[in-house]
Amino acid sequence: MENTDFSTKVLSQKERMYRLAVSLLRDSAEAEDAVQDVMERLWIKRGQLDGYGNLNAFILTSVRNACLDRIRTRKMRAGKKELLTAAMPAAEDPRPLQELSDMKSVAEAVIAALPEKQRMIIHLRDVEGFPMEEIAQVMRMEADSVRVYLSRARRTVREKMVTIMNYGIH
Amino acid sequence: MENGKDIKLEYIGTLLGKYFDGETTLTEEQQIREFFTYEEDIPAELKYAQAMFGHFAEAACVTGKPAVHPEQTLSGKRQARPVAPARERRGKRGLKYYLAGAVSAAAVIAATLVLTTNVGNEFGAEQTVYCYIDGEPVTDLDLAFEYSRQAFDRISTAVTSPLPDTPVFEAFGKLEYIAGLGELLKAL
Repeated sequence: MENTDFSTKVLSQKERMYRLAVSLLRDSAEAEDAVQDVMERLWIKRGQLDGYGNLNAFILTSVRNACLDRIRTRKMRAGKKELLTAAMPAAEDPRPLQELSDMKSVAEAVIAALPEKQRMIIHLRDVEGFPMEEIAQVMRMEADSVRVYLSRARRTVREKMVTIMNYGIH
Repeated sequence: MENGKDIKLEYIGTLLGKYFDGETTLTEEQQIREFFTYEEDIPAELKYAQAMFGHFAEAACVTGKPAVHPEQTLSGKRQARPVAPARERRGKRGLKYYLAGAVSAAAVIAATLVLTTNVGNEFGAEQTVYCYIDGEPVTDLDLAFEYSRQAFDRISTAVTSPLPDTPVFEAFGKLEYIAGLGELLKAL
C-alpha cells in the first residue's frame, strides 16, 4: 500500500479507532496510545494491507485486540479489580433523575459496565452505525450471534437505566 | 380518534420493540434517533430511551488528537530506544540456583515462542498468537515477553530459597528435571 493510500484508507479511520478504544479502555490517553500503536503496526505491515477483503474490519479488530491486551496488562498490574466507571450519580441521592444530562451519564456508565463483547457490539452498531455483517466480521461471530448479543446489551441497558432513573442507586 | 402524534408514538413504540430485539434496520434506527432528537414532548416512560440515544449521539462526536503519521512516531522511537541496564552479579553461592532458574525460565520462553502459532483469519491475514492467557490469545509480542519476564523474575527470585520449600520447584519438579529442560533448550 502506498503512503497516500495509507493516509486515505488507514489514517482516515483514526477517529473511529479512537472512539472504539475509548469505549473499551475508558481512558482517553490510553486510547490515544493504543490507536497510535495500532497505526504503527499497520504502517509496518502496509505492504500486506491491500490483501484484506475488508480493511476497515481488520483495522477495528486490531484496535480491539490491542485494547484487550492493555486491559489484561492492567489487570495483571492492579489485580483483578473491577474498573469503575466515573459517571454514576451519588449513591446517597434517592431522587429520580430528571435532567437529560444526568440520564445520559447514567447511560454511559451502564454501557461501560457491560461485558466486553456486548459493549463493543453496541458501540459498533449504535455509535458507529455498522451493519450487522461488518460487526460480525470484526467480532469474528455469526451475524445471528451479533444480533443476540446486541439485543441482550440493549435490554440490559434499558433495565438498569429504568431502575436507576426511577429508584436511584441500589 | 388517534391524532398524528399518537400514531407517531405508536410507530416508535413498535420500532423500539424491534430495536430491543436487535431486529431494526439501520434506517429504522435512524428514525428512532431522529424522533428522540427532535421531538419536544417525550413521554416519561420513554425518557430512558431518549437518554440512551442522546448518549450514542454524543459518543459518535468524540474526537481524539489529530492523527500523527506512524512513520514519524516510529522514527522517534528508534532514536530514543533506551539501553537496558546491566544485570547485578549474583554471588558464587547463588550462581547454581540462578543458572537453574535462568535455564527453566528461558525454556518456558523458548517453548512459548516455538509453540506460537500463525493463525489465519477470515481476512486472509496471519496473526501470530504468542501465548494464551486465561484462554485468550495474546497477539502482542511485547505483552508475551512481559508475561515471560515476570515468570523469569519470580523464578530467579525464588531460587535463592532452599529448594524443598520453593513453590517454583514444586511446579517444575526436581532439579534434575530443570537440568533436562536445559538440554531441551540446547536442542531447540
